[in-house]
Amino acid sequence: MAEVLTDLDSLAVAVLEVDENVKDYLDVAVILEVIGVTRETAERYGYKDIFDLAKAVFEAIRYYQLREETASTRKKTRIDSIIEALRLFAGGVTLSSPWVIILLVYIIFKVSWLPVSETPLVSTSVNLALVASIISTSWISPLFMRKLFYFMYQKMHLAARKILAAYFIFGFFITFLIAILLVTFTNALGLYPDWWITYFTIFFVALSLLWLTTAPLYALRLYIPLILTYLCSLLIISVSYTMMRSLPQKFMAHVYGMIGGSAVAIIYLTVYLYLRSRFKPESYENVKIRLPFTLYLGMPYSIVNLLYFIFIFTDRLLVWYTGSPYPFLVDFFYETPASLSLLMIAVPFGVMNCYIQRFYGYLSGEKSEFAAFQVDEYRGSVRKIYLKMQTAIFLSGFLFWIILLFFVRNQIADIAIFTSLSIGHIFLVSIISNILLFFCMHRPSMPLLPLLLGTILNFTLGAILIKTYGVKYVASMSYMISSIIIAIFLIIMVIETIIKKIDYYYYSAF
Amino acid sequence: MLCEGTYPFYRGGVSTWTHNLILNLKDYEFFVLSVTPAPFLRRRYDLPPNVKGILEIPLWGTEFAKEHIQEFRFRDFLSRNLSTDERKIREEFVPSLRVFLDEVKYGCKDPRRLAEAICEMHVFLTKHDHRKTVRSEAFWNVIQEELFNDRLYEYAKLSYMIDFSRILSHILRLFSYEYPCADLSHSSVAAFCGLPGIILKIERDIPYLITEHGVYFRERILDLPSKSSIIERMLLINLYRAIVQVNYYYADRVLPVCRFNINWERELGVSEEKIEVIYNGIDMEKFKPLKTSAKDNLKRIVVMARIDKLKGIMNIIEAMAKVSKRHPEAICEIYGPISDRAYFKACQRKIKSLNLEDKVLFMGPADKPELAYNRAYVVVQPSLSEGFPFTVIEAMACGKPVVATDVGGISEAIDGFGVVVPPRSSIALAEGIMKVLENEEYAEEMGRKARRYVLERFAYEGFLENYRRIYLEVLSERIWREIIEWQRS
Repeated sequence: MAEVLTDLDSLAVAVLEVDENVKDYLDVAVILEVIGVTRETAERYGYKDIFDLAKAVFEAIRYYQLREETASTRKKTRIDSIIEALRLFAGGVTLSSPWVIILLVYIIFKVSWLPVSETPLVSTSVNLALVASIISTSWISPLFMRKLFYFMYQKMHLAARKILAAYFIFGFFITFLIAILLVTFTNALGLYPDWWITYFTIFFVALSLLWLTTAPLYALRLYIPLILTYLCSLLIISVSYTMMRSLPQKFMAHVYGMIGGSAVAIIYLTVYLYLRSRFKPESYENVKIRLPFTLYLGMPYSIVNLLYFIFIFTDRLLVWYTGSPYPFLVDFFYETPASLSLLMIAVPFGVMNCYIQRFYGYLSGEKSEFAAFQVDEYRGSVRKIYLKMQTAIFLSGFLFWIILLFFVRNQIADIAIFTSLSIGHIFLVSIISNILLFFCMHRPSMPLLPLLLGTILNFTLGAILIKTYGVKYVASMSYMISSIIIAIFLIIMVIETIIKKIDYYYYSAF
Repeated sequence: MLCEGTYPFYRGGVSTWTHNLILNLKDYEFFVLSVTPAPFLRRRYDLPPNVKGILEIPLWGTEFAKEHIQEFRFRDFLSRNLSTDERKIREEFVPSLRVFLDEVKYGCKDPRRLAEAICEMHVFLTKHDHRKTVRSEAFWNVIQEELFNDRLYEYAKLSYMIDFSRILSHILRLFSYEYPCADLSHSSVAAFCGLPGIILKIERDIPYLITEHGVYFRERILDLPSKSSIIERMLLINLYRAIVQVNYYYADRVLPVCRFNINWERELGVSEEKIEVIYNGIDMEKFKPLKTSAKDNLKRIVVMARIDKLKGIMNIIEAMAKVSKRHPEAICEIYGPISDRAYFKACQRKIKSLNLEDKVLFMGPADKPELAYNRAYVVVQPSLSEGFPFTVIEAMACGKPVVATDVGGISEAIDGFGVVVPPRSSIALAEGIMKVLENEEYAEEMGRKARRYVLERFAYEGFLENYRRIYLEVLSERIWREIIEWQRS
């Protein structure tokens, strides 16, 4: 009996190899004939003819099919969907780190990631270093990340390693070059005292290294290592600060933390890629990276990223600008609501991540069942999901803003600044979601113009408002207005171009 | 020499054939054009000195065609890129693409029309940027008009059609390259890699030969994803049929490695006078009975095949469940690379479920197959589809009894000097193996006869002579054609 069952089993497997979707025993009989099973074979198995055998084989196949159906049904339980959504939400929130992690650690453990301001001049050096490092590194990673991502997708880990090495060499070189240029420039103009320049340079380099090394973690969506990097950085700061508390150069604890964080990110990435190529032996050799092609491909991404970061810091630079005696001086009155308002992006980011992953899944056909002639219906349904995503971003943003306002209202002197910046940030998440969509469709040049115009608008409107009202804090208004304008512009652009021909854009994205 | 997914980057029967042919036709110079899935693949063969160059055409793995070629300058890329715009694509590329799709979607009604479209696309893509062309709206509009709106395919899944269009756009990369000029092009399969041969034939009247190992069209049908619908399968089948048809149409000779292939070739429209069977030849000095280090009392059943669904590894595993019950001393050693990881895992699960962990062993690729054969008590070939497998004749040359499934040219190769069983029947396979295991005299006798038979029929010399003769024939035919044309003019 066991012998017969085993053979039926092998026949079932053989039939399934030809067609997994057999519907009845007649389907099975056809395949059995095709694979050379004859009436004699059926008789040898103890069946009167091939149809009789096909019925028995079909029973065995049903067992396999049912088992698979059960497995696939289990995959789609509600709890699993909720867990998946929560995972994506957490991933999105992580994307908006370091702000969230840094703030949480500060609240719980009182470990500050940046030196707690002593004087406005010291704060200026740290904050300017922060802004300068973000802007100066923002354009470097996208030059390489598209290619890195491409090679990872192609499972060409050796090539990915080479790209990563090229990126680090290029990034470190550019960072040091910019640092030298900034020092020379500031020195030559005598804008700040010498100690300030040293302070600024040290922080600029440390922060730049951290941004450079964590950029691939963002690009490869390695959320947990990303969190670990920041946590390690904070841990090093905490330990170093305890050891150096009485020393005058205790600010170096923060620098050590940043460099430590960079080291963790580099080590993780190296091990991550090494293990992939080591344990899944590659059949590639002599992989050569053509830098001009890589840079050509990454250039539009790079410019978009640069504009984006210039855009989000324009209001601060306008507020910090004093003219004399120092060109920029941090304004604490503006800083507190500005820093707290950055928390705003965490929740809408999480929501955006959930929806954008659903959106990608839908595009790839994982969740859509349209036929070729139903292109218009497909476009319509993609449009619906897109609009849902935008609505969810705005709704979650505004709800979270109300909650946040309730908690921080006593900590901020000016609710108007917080409100303007928060609303601006909600629209910023919408802007990011659209930029990500353009990036996903591999159309990075499309958001260039709106971003450029938005940045110019942010700057000029801010300057005009400051001049008109004589109050620097109105820069937050210009940020809010320009965010709203860019967001609306991009939404219309996405709907009118990408969504209208999503099948074409999705096809040509790869 | 035109290759696809084989020489010199992958090991296997076709690669071995290509390597041996090139290596031994020392009086010919070769240029290898290899269509690969990705660039920078590790070469698995040292190129013989008569290989004067190699052009690797990866269909995936780079964003721009030719990006992997160091000699292709960025400046050239930029000028190609700048010279490509929507208008040019619409006017100069789209008409030939439309014809190409029209032919492909119905499996090639007119090979000449298809080939002309291919040549025109080649002319355009060698001067313009491939990526910009296939990403253009004009390109997509034609795809939609020709495929999405076709009454035959309109019910195919949209996501499938998008994926198919992407595959097509990658295949068109083939036409972005300038092919080396040669006196003769010889394809190791009637597939996409044959298209350069057709282009060279049309553009420069270079004779074109095809050697068919397995019938490409037949193997593609066997390999079709079973989850896709009948319409989706039809589209793929028609694409393959079109490519195969155009290959056959333009080939001066179609050279199957066994008679089994002829039926398929005839069915696909190859005229009788074009076909000539040339059996594979093997190195009898290398593949001969040897003394091996295995000194235990185990009876080794050796399988030499890559781990792939088509190779029927599951079949031998199931057969081993039966064999090992009666012959606990029997173990099965499977030599070969893993080409289908999911299938490999399924095999491992099967081994575990049948408690055969110590009876069926995956040995990895064999660097010295002759030693692996010589370790065997019996060599088994459990394939579901084959052309004319080297493994069978190599094993026979080593004086080993062979048990093989009756697919492709296996019966022809064994010709009574081994055990042939029906495919996909683990019982029959097990019975075949046990017949050899249980009769030592029969096994020895069979091995001896098999070696003698292979010596007579599959020795290198005959194999090489046949190719030399064919090369000279088609070259002289070309010269005659030129003379006649010259006389006419």
